[in-house]
Amino acid sequence: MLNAGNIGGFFKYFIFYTIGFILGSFGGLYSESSGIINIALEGSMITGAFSGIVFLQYMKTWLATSWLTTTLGGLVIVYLLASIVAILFSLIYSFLLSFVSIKLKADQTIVGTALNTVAVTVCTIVNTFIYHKDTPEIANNIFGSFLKIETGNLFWDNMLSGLNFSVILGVVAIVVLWVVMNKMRFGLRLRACGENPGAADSVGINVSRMRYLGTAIGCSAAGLGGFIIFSCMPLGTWQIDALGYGFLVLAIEIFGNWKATNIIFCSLLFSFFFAFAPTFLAALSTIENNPLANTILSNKAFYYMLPYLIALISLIIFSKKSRAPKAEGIPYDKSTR
Amino acid sequence: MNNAVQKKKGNWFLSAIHSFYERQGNRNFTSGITSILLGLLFGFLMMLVIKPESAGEGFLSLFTYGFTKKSLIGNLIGAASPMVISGLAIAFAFKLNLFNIGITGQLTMGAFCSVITALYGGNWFLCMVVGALAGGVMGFLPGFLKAKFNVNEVLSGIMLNWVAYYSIGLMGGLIPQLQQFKYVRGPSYFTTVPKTGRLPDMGLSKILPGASAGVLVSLILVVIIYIILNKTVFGFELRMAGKNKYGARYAGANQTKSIILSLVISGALAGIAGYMLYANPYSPSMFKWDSTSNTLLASGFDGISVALVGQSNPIGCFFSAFFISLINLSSNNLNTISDGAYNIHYAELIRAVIIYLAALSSFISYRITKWHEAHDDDPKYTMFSNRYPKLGNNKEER
Repeated sequence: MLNAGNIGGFFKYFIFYTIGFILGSFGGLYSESSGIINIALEGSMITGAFSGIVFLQYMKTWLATSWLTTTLGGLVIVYLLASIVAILFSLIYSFLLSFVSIKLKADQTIVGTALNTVAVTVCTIVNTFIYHKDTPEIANNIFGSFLKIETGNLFWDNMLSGLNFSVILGVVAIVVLWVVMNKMRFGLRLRACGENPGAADSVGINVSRMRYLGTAIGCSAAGLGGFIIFSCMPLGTWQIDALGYGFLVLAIEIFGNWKATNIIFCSLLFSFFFAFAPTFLAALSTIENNPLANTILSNKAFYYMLPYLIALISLIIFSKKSRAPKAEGIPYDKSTR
Repeated sequence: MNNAVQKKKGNWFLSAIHSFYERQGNRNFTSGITSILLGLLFGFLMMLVIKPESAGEGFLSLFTYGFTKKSLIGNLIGAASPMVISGLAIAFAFKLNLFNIGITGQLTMGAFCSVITALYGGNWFLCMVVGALAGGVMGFLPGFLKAKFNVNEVLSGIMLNWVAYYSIGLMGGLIPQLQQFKYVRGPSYFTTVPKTGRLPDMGLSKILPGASAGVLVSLILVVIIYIILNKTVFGFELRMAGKNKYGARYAGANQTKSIILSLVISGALAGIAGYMLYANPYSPSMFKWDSTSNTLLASGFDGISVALVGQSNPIGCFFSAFFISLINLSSNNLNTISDGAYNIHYAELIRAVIIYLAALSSFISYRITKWHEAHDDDPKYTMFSNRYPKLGNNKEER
């Protein structure tokens, strides 16, 4: 049951979940540090994943014979372009949230929830227009045959085949976002806008601009994260649904107490459980006539529930001590300075 | 002095508007209606862009299609009644600024428990009570966590949605009465509520097939919630704490109690809505109790739209639920009259845009308040105002 292949499969899930979750919760961190509650991360993930996957589909049909889609080096470029498309679309999406919550001073939680619905329906409608399907479904493992790696070593084969090159961009993005938040002036100013916008304004920081930037960076990071998760996940067809990951990353962010380094470690923990359930159950289902395996398999819902339960428990333990940015969710009004 | 006041004549039109907006309720009403109209305008423009020749017909059918046949009216009533209740659930928690997004889990759990009660032979009232209890327990959890551990109710609600969803799959395997439904339809398990457990039809089905006592239940609940919110001390404390947490604490309102109770009531309402979703006497939906599809019930999120469009007013919720189900019903018709140009997700988009704009309604209501305050002392605007003129504001008067 436990062989090198299974462990490799586990690591594949672990890698794309970790990178997606870190990016998503960094997205939450950036927008909440600037003072905007970003419930719309779920929608950003959907927007990013959907636009990137559609871009890949078009590349596959338009450039079917070009070197871009037939060689490994070309595919690196195509996947990087798709990641950029995902980032761009979620960037545009972010303005739907930031404009109304900064300029029109709307309730950010409600706008975010409405935007999640908007993202799902717009993506579904675009999907219907392009592929003439009534059900929200899109093939997500494009170029699957090219991404299959055969070295003979089961561990490396199972781990690397299916992972695409957007993962590399994801790692780069995580490093850049960490450095910007912790080591650069911009990150400090962003956090100042979330803690005490009045004070930030009084020393000449443009609070509205910082909040626009924070939300834009946040949504595009989450969009890239969504693209990484849903283009790497071996689903076959993706149901245009972020499966609650957009909310889970918010829990990770609270769990990490709004600190970039802590968030990375928390994401590792959560990805472990998310990667564990499908790979463990898949490995168990290969064993026949074992009563213990059968019991576990008939109660497999428990293993899918586990990450959410752990998120809930960690919320209970860490929320009491957690310290959210003070001005989070409060529209900045110059006259209250 | 008298002459100085009479010099500036009142404008009856502006004064009428001014006195209309004296009440906060009227401000909310206007902003709600404005967001609906803007959302519909957006839908009309989209139709014009996609297929101009059938845009007019398509737009009209959004409102009229639900009334074209008797069965459709029945469907409308049947679909709207649980939505009214789930909207009430969200609206009730909104009064304390709590966003009960865990409604999906409460609804799922309520439906699950009431379906099991029905399978064991319970009558409709018992099923409804059990559903309300199960929903109330699920509502208690985020409320307790919020009050005692400072856990954000949105996040705990989302996590509890998934916990409820998966735990149904787990518990379903343990209940003997459910085993007979295993493998009825492939790997998914479906059951319907047996006839004894469905809502009483009260002869309504003969006139309007699909309508049932559910609509009466929802009406009664609207009245009860209205009374709780507006006529009781508890409701007053809730509204006060929603407006100003510190003020309420100063006045002696028990914050912990209010948070927990309002989420429990909200959850109980959601549980009733969950029962009603599956208990229509005419055409009950199949209840699915496995956990393999990875999709939550969408009905909980309907409640959020209802409450937002209804401006979290119980009576507003009643009308907005009917309005939203009317738009939902027309989605198939839109597809047929435009030869597939407006696909079936189109009505959903219009709905999503209306909710998005409804979230902006606080901005519209804020602008109205500003306008109202700016002209408070202007005799041109206050012909019908029953307020006494403020002394000392007018220079000549002084």
